[in-house]
Amino acid sequence: MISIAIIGGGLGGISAFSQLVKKNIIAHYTIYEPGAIAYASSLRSSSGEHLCNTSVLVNSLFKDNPFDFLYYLKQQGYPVSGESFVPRFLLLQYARETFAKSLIAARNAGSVVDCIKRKIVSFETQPEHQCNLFDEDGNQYHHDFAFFSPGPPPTQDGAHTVYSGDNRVSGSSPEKLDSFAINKKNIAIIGTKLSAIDSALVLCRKGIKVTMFSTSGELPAVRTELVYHPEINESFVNTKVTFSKRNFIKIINDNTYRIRTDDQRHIKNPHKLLSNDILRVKHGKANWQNSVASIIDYANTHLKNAPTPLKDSVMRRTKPLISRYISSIPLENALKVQRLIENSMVKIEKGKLQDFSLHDGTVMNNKKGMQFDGLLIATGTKNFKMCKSGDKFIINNIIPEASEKVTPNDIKRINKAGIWLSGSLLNDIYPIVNYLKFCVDQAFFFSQTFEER
Amino acid sequence: MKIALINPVSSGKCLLKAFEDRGVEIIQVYEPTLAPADRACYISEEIGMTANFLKSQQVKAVVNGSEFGTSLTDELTQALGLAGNSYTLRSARTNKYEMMKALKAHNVRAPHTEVITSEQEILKFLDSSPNYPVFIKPTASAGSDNCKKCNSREDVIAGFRNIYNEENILGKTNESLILQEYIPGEQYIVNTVSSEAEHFITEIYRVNLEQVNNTPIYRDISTLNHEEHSSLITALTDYVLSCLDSMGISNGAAHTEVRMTENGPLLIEVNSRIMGPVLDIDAFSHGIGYSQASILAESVAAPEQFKKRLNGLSLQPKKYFSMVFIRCPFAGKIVNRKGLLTIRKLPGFHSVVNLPPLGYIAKNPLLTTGDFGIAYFAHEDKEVLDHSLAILHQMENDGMLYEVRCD
Repeated sequence: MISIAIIGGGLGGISAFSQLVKKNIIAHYTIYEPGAIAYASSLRSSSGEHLCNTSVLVNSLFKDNPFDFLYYLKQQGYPVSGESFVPRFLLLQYARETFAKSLIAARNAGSVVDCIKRKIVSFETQPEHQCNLFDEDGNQYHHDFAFFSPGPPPTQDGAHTVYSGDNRVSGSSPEKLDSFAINKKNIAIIGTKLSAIDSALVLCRKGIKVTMFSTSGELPAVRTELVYHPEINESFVNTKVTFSKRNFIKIINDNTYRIRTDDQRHIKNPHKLLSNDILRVKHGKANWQNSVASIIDYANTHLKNAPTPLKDSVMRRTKPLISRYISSIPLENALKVQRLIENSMVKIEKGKLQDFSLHDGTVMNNKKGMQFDGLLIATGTKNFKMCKSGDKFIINNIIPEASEKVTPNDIKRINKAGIWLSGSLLNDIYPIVNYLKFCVDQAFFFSQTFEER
Repeated sequence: MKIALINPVSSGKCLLKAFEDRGVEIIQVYEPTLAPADRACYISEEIGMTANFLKSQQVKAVVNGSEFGTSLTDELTQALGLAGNSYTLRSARTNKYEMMKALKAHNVRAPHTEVITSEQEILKFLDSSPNYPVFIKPTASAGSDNCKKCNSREDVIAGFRNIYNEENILGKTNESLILQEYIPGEQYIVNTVSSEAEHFITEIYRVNLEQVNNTPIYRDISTLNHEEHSSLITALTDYVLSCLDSMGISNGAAHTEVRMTENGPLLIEVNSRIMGPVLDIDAFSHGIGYSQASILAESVAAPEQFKKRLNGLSLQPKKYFSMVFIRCPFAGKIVNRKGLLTIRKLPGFHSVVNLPPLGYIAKNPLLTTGDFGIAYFAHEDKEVLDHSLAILHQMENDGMLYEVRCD
């Protein structure tokens, strides 16, 4: 029986396991997850205010069945459509139940499934489908194949020493916020992107006034969906001109061009900017967002075998587009923030962490002369990185000094050895706009290699 | 939001709670014979006065609370100009003969049905050499009240005398009855909620029916394996949606019973209200994700949410789910409910509601009104669920569920 390791019991790992089981791949599966399957995910939140950042239709764990999550939600009785943004706890609940069903199916089919509560930190490749995995204590595990989806590292508490005790907190998990929020009426948040907005919504629900600070003093753009537009894909595929760097860059530029000419840039009032954004999205005029998914999907699917300079060039050009999309706010949340601004519960200001100091238990913004009961640092999660050190590939959030960068050729060698990577580990290799979808796609391609075999 | 809920008895009490959960202000409207003594309500003596009162209260919807409220709901929605079902087709929703006529008028398959209003007519019918068995039932009633399968001329005459000019379960005199061709085949229930002539199928059940003295007795209703029975489900839903359209049902709940014959589905009846007798929201949410009552409340109070459900998909509910109409096989006084101690330990058991109190005198053990309790079961494994139901039914049959003193 072949031995398959799945590193990470979050959404990517569950997707890999479930897609393999669905394809009737009988194997000895070993899932390495130091926390609880599904519930140790970086998306973990039990707050109904914390929505998934992408709509239901792109959160399926099965590439060949994009409706799986939607059907699951409907089965549970939720009134949702493919375009709905639902609380994250539903995505994790779906993942956990999908895992439970796949586990039964795998065992009924004759597979063996083990879950090992260890964190894999490095691996070595061997020629032709052999790999060695190493945990934090240096224990070695041997497998024929492996799929890596370790997710981001746990939220770091940052290195800011100015604040202490109950007046500052990093991260936006509701558990942290619940205790942080006690007896506070007025909180400053560093950041205006997704985790900052998530935190602001939770705090406002507790009756706390929130001021969000960012270097631009603006909120990110508003989006409705991340769906694939067949007409755009078709125009890519059916292009008469032979595919070339120039051609692809032109298409990207055509789409990013809208960003540059966007009249939103001239509006400086954050509330007016947000309202304008909401209107554009509601009237289907936020054209910039429609092309993102198709462009990235096309780049990942069709550029795999393209020469490195072309891929590098594409990566450079797509980054601003991806960045704009990733930090943009789902419409549901944008509407809530708009209402909160109108009700004076939320304010958006220009500022950064260095502007703050602590005086007699009160947080001060020295530049603005504002004072707060607490400060929340919500500047997003850091991703794991991968590097090379001798024969070993190391997965960590801090790259050792003596290490080398992983190249696209290394990725090819890793794949040949039967190891597939996903998520942020490939951040520098592929343009990734939706991590979950990227993990699901990678897991699907991984499962396909067994089918082909 | 303020609504009027008409005659919320039977499962209408669950509908009341479903609206309350959403913070909807409810005016309970009762006809005089049904008005409860223990709660504030408006007693409707006359339709015009009731309509004026509801208009002054600025109600946004009039919702049918039970089989007893069907006619009054139609009259009030019409008088107030609110969204309701077709007024011109209202008799097709209360009179089973008109119901079949409406189907035929829309080229929808319907069983052959005769309406009988006198003894002369029944004798004339019997002289026409009908094919036995035939089914006899009151033109308007509920809960399998006096429905009987007749295998001979004598059975029909006895059935007629038992029903004609007698008071039915709705408290009205049976001035007519219907004779219908007997429809062979498995019986199914298709529940729906409609809004602006678009229909959402809330549940589909197979009915476990037992014939006792030629009277159909509901033992339980259970959800199906949608993958295994996909063509059956398609046939049932297509047919039921045609029935709803034929009867002008475009807003609110409907509870439709059909039988699957060799030639396709055939209607038993459509009721333009939620299913009875008890739709315990916790049990249904546990098994199905919602109850028909909660979906009806959603369609009225949050129509934009409800619209997201309207995509024509009929999905497998989250668990296999059964509602059991607990039976007491004998008439008499209930002295204990010892069997429940075992039932509660069965796999998939969720809850039991509407239990008869000790000392309750079981008069008619054949009615489908849930007088002996309703048990809910849900399980991911259909075989496990079916096994639990088999044990429960055997205990009922053996008289081990309730001990009854027949003195």
